[in-house]
Amino acid sequence: MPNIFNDGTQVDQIIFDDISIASASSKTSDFMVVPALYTGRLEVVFMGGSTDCVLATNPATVDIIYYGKSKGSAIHTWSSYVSISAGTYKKGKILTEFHIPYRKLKEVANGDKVFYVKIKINYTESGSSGNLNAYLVWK
Amino acid sequence: MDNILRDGTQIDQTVFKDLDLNETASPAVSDYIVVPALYTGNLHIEIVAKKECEIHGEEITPPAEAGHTVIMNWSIYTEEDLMLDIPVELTYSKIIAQYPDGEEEITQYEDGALVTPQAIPTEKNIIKLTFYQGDEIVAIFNLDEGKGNVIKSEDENYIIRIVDEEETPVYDIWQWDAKIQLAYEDTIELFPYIDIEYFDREKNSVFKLEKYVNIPIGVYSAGTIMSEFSLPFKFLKNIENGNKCYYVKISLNYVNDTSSGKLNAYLIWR
Repeated sequence: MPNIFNDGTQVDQIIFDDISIASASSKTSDFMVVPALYTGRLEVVFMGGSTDCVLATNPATVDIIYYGKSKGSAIHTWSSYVSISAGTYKKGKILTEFHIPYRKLKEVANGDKVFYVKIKINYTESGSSGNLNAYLVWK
Repeated sequence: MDNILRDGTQIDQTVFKDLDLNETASPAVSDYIVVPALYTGNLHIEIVAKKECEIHGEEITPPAEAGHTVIMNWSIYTEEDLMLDIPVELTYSKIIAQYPDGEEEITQYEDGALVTPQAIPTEKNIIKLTFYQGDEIVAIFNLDEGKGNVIKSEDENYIIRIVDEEETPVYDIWQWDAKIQLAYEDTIELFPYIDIEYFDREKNSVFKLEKYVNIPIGVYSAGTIMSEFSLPFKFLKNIENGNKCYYVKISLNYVNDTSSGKLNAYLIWR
């Protein structure tokens, strides 16, 4: 399991570890602790996994779901925050990269109390195959 | 011209200034923005409503059978909890879920009382749900072969509605925030979105990243953030001349006829 990219970037947390996208139409991460969220320096990178990642949906999308320490109801959900073009992504090729937005949270009730996030990728199961990785990176 | 946001954030450059959503044809494209600091990863864009904004995206008609679809063979697999809206007339004391590799009781109680609605925590395919009252089976729902299943969206929740041969609803399974591609409505409104085009010093296009971020449809009061995102750069290493980007252009794609208000967009160094 890599904890450093080829360019030297340190991986903070593994979001998805070589997960197969051949089943289901979405994958949701575990709760990820993000005490550094409000620094604005947390970045998510999706990459092709051990087998070619084929995304059939154009576009696939990524949701970001914010939670407080209690892990109760979501404080905020940013649906379809980014899009990912359909296509074939070989091992290590970047599907998408984005910073976890946080400034919008100041306009949301309890938006200053986010402690966890979940990352969810949505796609069409039919025609999708292969594996992908996703990492949380501190920049 | 604003050069500082209310929280003290310094603005590096203005991307859009007083962009009138109704009067500006889509896409609204910025001028060339000089981004020598692109490869630091510290450049961010923030789009803020200048006056109250209402923004909308393109409406499309879903393919195939708009309105509803019928799936004859299907199964459920999700990493989210499914919520089972159980018919009120069904009295039961226990629910057994059958998975491909076995079965498990999933009934949820709180202080000895049944929780309503029942959540089905699963990361497996559900084949069958069997409802018991004591030791007696009172209902069986086969989830791997529907008799005719309508997928419907209501109040932003997505519902898998199980119907009988007469299309009479039998029961619903629904999931918050699920993305089911086939919607009940005749049309679907797509999100407004942002493209980023990268250019070299000679202003030759290097790459256009289409539909990078989406902007939630809706009304934004003055001063509220409509979108915030960083300028991605890591992926450029796999693009020819991806290491030579010097300018970017930001394109805002939306439908101007149904949108209104004014917005600003800023480039921020952080």
